[in-house]
Amino acid sequence: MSIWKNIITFGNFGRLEDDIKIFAYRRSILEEIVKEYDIAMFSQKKAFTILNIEREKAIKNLALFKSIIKKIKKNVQDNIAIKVRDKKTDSNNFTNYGSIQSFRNNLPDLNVDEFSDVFFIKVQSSISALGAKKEIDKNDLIIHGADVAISAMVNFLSATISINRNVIEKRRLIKDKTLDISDSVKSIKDSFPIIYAETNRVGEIALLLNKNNFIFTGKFIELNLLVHSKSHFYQFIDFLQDIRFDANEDVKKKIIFLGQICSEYNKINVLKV
Amino acid sequence: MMTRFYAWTFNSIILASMLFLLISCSGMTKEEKLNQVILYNLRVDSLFLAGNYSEAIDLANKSIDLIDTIPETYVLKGRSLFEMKSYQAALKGFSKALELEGDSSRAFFYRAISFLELEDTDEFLDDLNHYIMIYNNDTAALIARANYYFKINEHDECIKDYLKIFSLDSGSKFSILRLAQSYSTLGDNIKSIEYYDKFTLLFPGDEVKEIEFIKAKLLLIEKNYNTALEKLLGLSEINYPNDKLNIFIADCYIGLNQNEKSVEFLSSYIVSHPYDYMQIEKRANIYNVLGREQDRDKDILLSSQIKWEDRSLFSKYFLIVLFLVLLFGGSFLFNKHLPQVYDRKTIKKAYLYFLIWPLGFHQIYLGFSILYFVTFIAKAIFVLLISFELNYFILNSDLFLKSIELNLFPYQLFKFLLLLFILDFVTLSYQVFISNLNERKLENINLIDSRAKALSDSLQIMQNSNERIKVLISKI
Repeated sequence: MSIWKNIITFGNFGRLEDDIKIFAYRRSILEEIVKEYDIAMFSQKKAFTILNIEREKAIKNLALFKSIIKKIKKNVQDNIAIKVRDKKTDSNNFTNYGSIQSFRNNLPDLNVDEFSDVFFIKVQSSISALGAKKEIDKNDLIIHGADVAISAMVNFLSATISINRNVIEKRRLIKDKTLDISDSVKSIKDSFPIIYAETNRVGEIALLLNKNNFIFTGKFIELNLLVHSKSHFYQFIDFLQDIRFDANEDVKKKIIFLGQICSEYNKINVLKV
Repeated sequence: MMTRFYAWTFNSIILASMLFLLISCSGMTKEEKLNQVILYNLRVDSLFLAGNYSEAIDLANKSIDLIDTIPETYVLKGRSLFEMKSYQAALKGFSKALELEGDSSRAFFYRAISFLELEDTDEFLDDLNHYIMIYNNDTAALIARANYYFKINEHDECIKDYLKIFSLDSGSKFSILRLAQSYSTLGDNIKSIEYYDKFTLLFPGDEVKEIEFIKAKLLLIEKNYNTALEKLLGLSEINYPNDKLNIFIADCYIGLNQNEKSVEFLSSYIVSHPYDYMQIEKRANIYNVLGREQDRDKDILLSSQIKWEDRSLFSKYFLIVLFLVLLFGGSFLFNKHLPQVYDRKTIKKAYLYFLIWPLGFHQIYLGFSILYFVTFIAKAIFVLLISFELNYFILNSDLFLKSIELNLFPYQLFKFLLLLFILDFVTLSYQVFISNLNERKLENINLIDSRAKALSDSLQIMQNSNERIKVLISKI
């Protein structure tokens, strides 16, 4: 059958079949890329969320450090060196090249079944009509039968021409869609390394902050037990009377250590996301 | 064969012609027809008067079949149709009569009233004015026009017509009554009373009591208090059944500066009409003049309460609810709680917030969102329950406390909120301390660790995706 089709379309049908195969292959690959891209974007979002949480915790830790200092010193001024820059917007402005939604929606689509079958039905019907008319004509009216045969031939030729035109059009369409796939792949190829690098950077900072928060929390719990060892009632009385805590060497060491962690926060912050 | 057929056709034609002539010759003469029509019309008239309209119409149609140029027949048919409320068909009959009779036709009147029934008032007035121009003493037409003017409140024109009717028929009950009503509507109460007097003189009967009551009202408007009071007291003695009698008597006493008596009659009215806040307000004014302040205040409160109850649910609570919603929403805008250190200085700040906005601003400052939410609900319920008092406070601030006495003030909720308020104030410094303790609460170390693991996993997934994408791209 495909020989027939190739003869009618002067070989274009064979080329069309090749184009469809290329298109289907590339489309399947793009689909997989989009799936991976989707997973990557989810990871990116998660990394940024964790970064934001770590930042908030860091800000709280600084406030806690300040509260401990206030427990010992009367006048504590805000030290720029131990401040986490409280601009969450910095970290929220993460790059989102070509949203995943658009890639997913613009996946080129093609009904291959329609291409291969539907428009050949016409040719088949023309040929079958030619055969059927001939049989009837042999028995009855030879002249009338010849007329019908000629008209069937003419129909067959016109159908062949229109099919040729259709095959060329469909080939152009498939080529356009294949080009669309190439564009999408190029866009992902260009943007993904940036997203990847950015996410890695975010991850590094978030991990550093997390590490500091981890150490700070551990040390602060120890220090807190020392500084606030009294019962709530006495603590409240001290709070009202604004009584300072008399820090011993051990406490001072711990405070200095916490101060170092706080200065680490600042260093991390200098590394812009 | 053909000749026989032609002969048969010729004979048939001659026979038909002869039959036609025979039937024609057997009909009535013109004079006989006229007499028959007159007889028919007399019969139609009597049927019409007897109220047998459908038969009258049938007979009128027979009459028209005999002679179709007698306008009287069309008028009779039209009137019957009019009575059967077929105004459009009646209109056609009257128009036909006008066509035959010309400008002086009485059918103009009938057509005019048909137009009125069809609500074509311009045509109605055109036909009726034309008719009255020719027959200017026709009281029926004048009454029709006067009634129309009365209906559309053109009392000047109405009075002109009724005066004309009155001049033609001084005993017209209807025209005297309408004249009195029209003069009263135009504000000429003296003339109105004059005609009411004529009415009672000519037609002494049951209506006299009503006319006397109306006259008393008009006299009251004319500030002729003594005469009005005399008439109203007379009616009161004979137990004239009118709700507003006591109000008018009270008004007369107010006019005569006999306030105690006016209060007496107003009170008896208010007993039977306890929701008429206008009369209650009127009594409050009289109490004010009499210097009975306590009674005045009670009446003002009572009228306000009735007005409040009359208001729709939306207008009662809309502003209060809007205020509460804005307060709640606005408070939460400030509730973007950042970690901070609460020391002794912040106690002062908390008290400052408490004094600025005691409805819970300090709770938001200290980060007690749940407590704020719960107390806000209690406060909102309280505000909605005392919404009448609040409304009253805005309108009459001097009588606010009295309004509390009068209504079922939610004292228990009020006491509870007052207790909360005092507790809040007393324990504010402790709240600051608790808030500081809350700030010192740290999350579990394991949680921090799990976050780190989750982050590492995400980065690993990212790396895997990167490699896979690279491989896939290379395949294309």
